[in-house]
Parts: sequence; C-alpha cells; structure tokens
Amino acid sequence: MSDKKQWQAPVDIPLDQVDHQPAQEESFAHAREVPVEQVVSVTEEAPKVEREPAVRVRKSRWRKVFALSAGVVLFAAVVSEVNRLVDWAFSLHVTVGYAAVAVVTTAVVSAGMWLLQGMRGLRQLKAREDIRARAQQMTEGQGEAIQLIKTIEAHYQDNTRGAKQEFLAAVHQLDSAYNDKEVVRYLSAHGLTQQDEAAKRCIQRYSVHSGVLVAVSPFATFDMWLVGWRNLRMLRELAEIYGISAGATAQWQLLKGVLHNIAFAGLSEVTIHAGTHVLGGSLSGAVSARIGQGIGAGLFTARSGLHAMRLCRPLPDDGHVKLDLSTISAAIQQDLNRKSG
Amino acid sequence: MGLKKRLKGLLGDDLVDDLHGQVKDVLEHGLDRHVRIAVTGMSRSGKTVFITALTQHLLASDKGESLPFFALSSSDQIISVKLLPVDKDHAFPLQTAVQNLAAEPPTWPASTTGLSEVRLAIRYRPASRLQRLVSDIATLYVDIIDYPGEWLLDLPLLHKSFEQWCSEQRELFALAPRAALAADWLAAQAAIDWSQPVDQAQLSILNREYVKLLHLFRSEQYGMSVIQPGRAVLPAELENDTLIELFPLIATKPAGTLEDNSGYRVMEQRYLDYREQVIKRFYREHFARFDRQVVLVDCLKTLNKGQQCFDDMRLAVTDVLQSFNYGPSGFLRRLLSPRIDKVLFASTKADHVTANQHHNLDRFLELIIADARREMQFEGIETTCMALASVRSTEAAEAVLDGQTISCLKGYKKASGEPVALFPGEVPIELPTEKDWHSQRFRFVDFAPRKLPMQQLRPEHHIRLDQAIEYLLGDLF
Repeated sequence: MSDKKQWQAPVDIPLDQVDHQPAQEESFAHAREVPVEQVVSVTEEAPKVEREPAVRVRKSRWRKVFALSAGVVLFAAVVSEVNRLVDWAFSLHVTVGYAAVAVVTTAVVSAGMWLLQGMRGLRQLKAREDIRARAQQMTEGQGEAIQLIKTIEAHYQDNTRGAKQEFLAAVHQLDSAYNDKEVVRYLSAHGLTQQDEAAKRCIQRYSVHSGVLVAVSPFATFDMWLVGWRNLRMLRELAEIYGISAGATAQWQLLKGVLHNIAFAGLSEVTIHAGTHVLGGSLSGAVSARIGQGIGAGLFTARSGLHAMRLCRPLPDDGHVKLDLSTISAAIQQDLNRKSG
Repeated sequence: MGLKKRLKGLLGDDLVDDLHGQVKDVLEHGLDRHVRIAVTGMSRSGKTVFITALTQHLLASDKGESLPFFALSSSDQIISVKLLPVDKDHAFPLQTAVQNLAAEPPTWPASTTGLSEVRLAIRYRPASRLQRLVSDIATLYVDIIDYPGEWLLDLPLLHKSFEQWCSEQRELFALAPRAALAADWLAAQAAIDWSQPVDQAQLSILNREYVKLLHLFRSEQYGMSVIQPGRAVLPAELENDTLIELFPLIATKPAGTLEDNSGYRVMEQRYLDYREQVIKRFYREHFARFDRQVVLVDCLKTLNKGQQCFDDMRLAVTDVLQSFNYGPSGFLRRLLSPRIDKVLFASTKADHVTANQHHNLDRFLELIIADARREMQFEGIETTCMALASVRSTEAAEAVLDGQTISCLKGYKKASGEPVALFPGEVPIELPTEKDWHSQRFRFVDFAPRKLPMQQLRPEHHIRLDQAIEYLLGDLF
C-alpha cells in the first residue's frame, strides 16, 4: 500500500510524435510533470505590508550643536559655581567649608538615587506591560501559565500590604483542570482583590477631592492646577499600591499612558461616560454651573485613575476593573451640599 | 370554559391552548425575573448528576467558595438561594441523588426516566444601578427541567411523514449492529402483507419485540443513540397506552392504492396520532416554554464503543438540533415558537480525561455539532461548547514512565471499586478515521464518584460547572 507511487513517472515521448510548432515554442513554457520527490513545497509568506514611513520632522543640525554646547556651558557653570561656593566657604572657616562640601555631596548623591529609583519604576512598568501582553496571549492549552505565575511572583519582592500572600493563596487555589486562559482569568479576578480594592478606594477619594476643590475654587485658571496636582498624587499612590517604585519618571510614564488612553478611548466608553456626565451635569447644572464643573473634574480624575490602575496591574482585567462613576458624582454633590448647608 | 370551547371552535385547539399557556406564564411570573433551563442528553450522559451538582453548588453559592467563575457568587452578591416546592409528579429526586453521592462509598445516582423539575429562587444584590433604583434586593427564579434526550429525538418527527420516517429507519436497520440484532424482527415483519388488514395481536407482538430491540440498542453494550419513538423506551405517564404502540415499517411501501384498514394505513394512522398527541403536546407544554437549553453529550462513551456508536450519536445530535429550527417564520409562528436563546453543549465527564485533553474534548464536540450549530447561530441562538464534570471523580496525577513524565488520572473504577491510575489516551480533534477505531487508541474507563460533601463545597468538586452557570445565568443579574 505504502509502496505504491503517488506520482506519475516521467515518460519519454518520441519527437516525431509531437506536433512541432517552432514559431510558438519560445512564447510559452511547456506543461510538464515533475516527480513528486523532487518538489519542495513552497511556504507562502505573508506579503509584507509596506508601511508608509511616518512623516519625519527633519531636525536641524544646529539644534544638536546648540543643545550640546548649552549643556556643556551649563554643566561647567554649575561646577564652577559649586567650586566657588566651596572656596568661599573655606575662606570663611574650615568648618563652614566642610559643611558646604557635605551639603553638596548629599545633594548630588540624593539626586542620583532619586533618578535611579525613577528608572526602577520605569523598568517595573515596562515589565508589567510585558506580563500583561503575555497573559493576553494565553491559549486554551496548558502549561504556559506556570511560567507566567513565576514571573509575577518574582515581581512581588517586598510584600506590600500582604499582596504577595494573597496572590500566592490564589495560585494555591488554582484548579488542576484550568487551562492557561482560565488561570489568567482566575488570578486576575481573585489574586489581586486587596490591591484592587485599595486602588478603587484611592481613586474614589481623589476624584471626590478634585471635584470638590474645583467646585469651591474661585478662580477658573486655578482649577486646572488643582486637578493636575491631585491627579499626580493619585498616580503616585496607585503605583505604590501595586508595588511599583513611584519615582518621577514612572509617574511621568503613567501620566503619558493615561493621557494616551483617554485620548484614544473607545467610542463606547466615551459615550457612556459622556452619558453619566450629561445626566449628572444637567441635573446639577441646573443647581449651579460650578457644581457641574466639579463633577466633570471628578469624573475625569476617576477615569484617569482607572486607566492608571489597568496600567499598573500585572494581569489584564476582563471587565471587573470598573468603578461606579455615578457614586462619585453623588459623593461630590453630597459633600458640597453638606458644606453649603 | 364555554368561552374557551367557542374560541377553540373558531381558532383551532392548538392556538387556544398555546395562548392559554402564554397568558398563564405571564400571570404566574408577573414581573419576577424567571428563567427556565432545560437539561437534556441521551441516557447515561450525566443529566441527573449535572442537575444535582448544579443545585447543590447554587444552594451553597452565598458562601462564594465553590464557584469562582460565577461572578455573582464570587463577588458576594448572593444573599441566599432556596429550593421551592414543585409538583409531586414532576419533582426531581434531589434528596436521593445527594444521598447517593454523599454515601460511603459514594455511588452515581439512578437515571431519571421522565420529565422532572427543580425550582430555585436566588436572592441577590443587583449591581446595576437601574435595578437598584427599584429595589436593593432582587430575586431570580430558576426552573431546571430534566427530560430524556429520547423525547427530544422525537421532535424531528414533527416535520417528517410516516413514509420518510420509515425510509430513514430502513437505512439505519441496514447497518451493523442493528441489522444483525434485529434480523428476526425484520423477518417477521417482512412475512406480513402490509397491503392487507393485519391482526391486532400480531401488531402488538411485533411492537413488543420492537421495544425490546430498542432497549437492547440503547443498553450499555451497544450504546446506540437514535431511538425512535422515544416514548417506546421511556413512556413516563404513557405507560401501557396504546398511543405508543408504534414501530417503523422496514419493508417498502406496498404498491397500489391502499385500503384504510390495511396494515400500512393503520400504522400510518398510529404515527400521526403519536405525532399529534404525544410529540406536539410535549412541544407545546414544555419545549416551547424553555428559555435556555443544556445538551449533555458523552463523547467518551462513543469513542470507546467504536465507529457505529459514534456515527449513531452524531446522527442523533444533528437530528435533535434540527428541532431548534424555527422553520418558516410568521407572526404567529414566532409568537409561539420556542424562545430558547442560548444553548450550551457540554461534553460531560471531562474528569475522565487528563486536564490537557479538555481543550481537545471541546474541539471534538464542536466538530460533531458543527452543522447543526451553524443553523442555530443563523437563527440567532447563542451557542457554546464546554468540557465539564459535574462531580469530579478523579485526581490529577503524574507518573514517570521510561524516563518521561506523563500526566495521568487517579480514581476508583466504577465496576469493581478498585483504585486505578491511567492515562486514558488523547481525544482526537479530527473525526477519527477507519484506522483509529481499530488501533487501541482510546481507553476511557468509567470511574466511581468521589464523595460530594453536603457542606463546604469546593471548586475542586467540579470542573467548569461555574462557567456553565455563568454562561446560563450570568447575563440575567
């Protein structure tokens, strides 16, 4: 059975039996049979999509030169100034000189540490993103989730607020029958509850704060600063809740991600939020335009908080990271009523 | 009643009865949220165990421990679940089943033979703000109805004439193992001239033999699925009724015009009566009022039994699923047609294969129902496939054989009760070919259940039952 040839053997045909048409011979390739074993199957590659290069703004060379020279000048100025400061201190008295040196060293070292801490936060954020991406690609097979769990476990170095214990408890509860996808879903729903709860409380608190502050602030320009300030504080606190080292760079990265997400939020989300906003806004707007503004600011803070939460979580959420936005607007109104009443 | 009679005269019996049922539904349920879940499957596919486990886990769902993927339970929104009384005739034997599973040693509960029902009330705190406006506490009533898959298999007969049914059966009876088993019966039938009047006594002898044959076909040994008419083997309230004395005529239809009292016409009349008075009644009184349907399929049994059993099961499942078709839609038709909007196909006994095979089990079931499923989705019915185990009877284990680590199962054999550990083979994800049936590819063993405690149910007592519940009920809260 298996010896039977699956292909047709080549056959020699005497030339005089072939209709010879020399005029057309060159114009087409003859159909002929090829022995199967000589054939190598061609795997068709997906055609590469030629991406149009993004419009590049040409940077001027002078700009580079300027930046470099300005940096050198600034650095030299700072060094010479510090040098002069130390000199001057020594000329006053030796002890004053030593004190100045100590202060300068402390400043330099702490700046370096701060920067380092920020870099660590940045790295952590990046790692979280990778883990989330991996988790999202889990299939219905088995065996890959174990690696993922180990990676996440390694992330909980310092057991902040018992987060690691909770995660490990959830891992312990995992059923042997779960496939990778189910493992991710289970851990996302049951392994991070304490952190999620803390984060939600934090978001709620800051949203109400910024809402109330905007509502009672007398200057319109001042409002923006208020909201920004509260938002940044909230981002830092959220990062800390999820065990991310909250340096300035990490905070900045988070803020960028949040703004990006808000700008490109799905249409549905926008409409839902707009709906709550309009409902709450029109209702309270009738009472006072300022309360409406406050609620708007509160909702904005809540939304950015939720996005930050998604960015900080090691696992993708499937719908359970949500906050009842209506409770926030209600809380703002209540707070204001209590204050005015 | 006078009005009803007059209406019946005007509109016809069926329509009035249907409307009566609908109005009664509305009045009974009022504004309560109510869902009727029908559970079906061929015999020994695990209906009783499924319903028992489902009910037990739901009753304990307020503790939020055993159903991690049932969102309402795991988020502690359930206040309490209680059993509601049902008609004595239709009560599901929950107590006995629970006792069986909790006994020492535990046993699988006996299979049910007719239509039975469990009624639950779930009291919960709604999450949606709109519902909370109405009240802080809401109740969902869940009716779980169990009926034999054989009755479901009767539904396709509604669209078939006697002649069509006979010719289909003729094809079936030409195949092994039916042909061999039914040889005597076929010969006896062939000896009769169906164009002439046939003696009643002769008919009832043939019928008795036919019922015996059907019982043999669906026995453990052969495991055939296409058993028609379903009431012949599971008569329920129609025990000893002449209505169910029905069998197909395997001999070809006699030529020429037939007298009304000829054997053929008599059988045809019986078929029509059966269709009108048994199937249609079941359809109107029960099937048309279901909201969700669970179809349990035991893929492993068929893989174990071999090709004939497998082909038969495939035919049965495809045939059954045709009954979800609405047919040509019209206003009245739509009003009275089944309102089933979600169907869950579950391959049960997922604990009888290793966990890495669950996905294959899913795919395999999808393969079996592919055609029927397409039609249902076309009709707007949501469907999904899931490999689950209502009561888990095995433990996952690992063994090192010839230097290779293989995952295997540990459990107790159903037949002898002795402990076994085995790797039962892989579930194919393509329809098995001729060769696969002959090689020793599958060896799925029946396991005895592990004890299902009355208290403190845990997620490890089931496989994916919580996801099934979430699928069936999750959108209603």
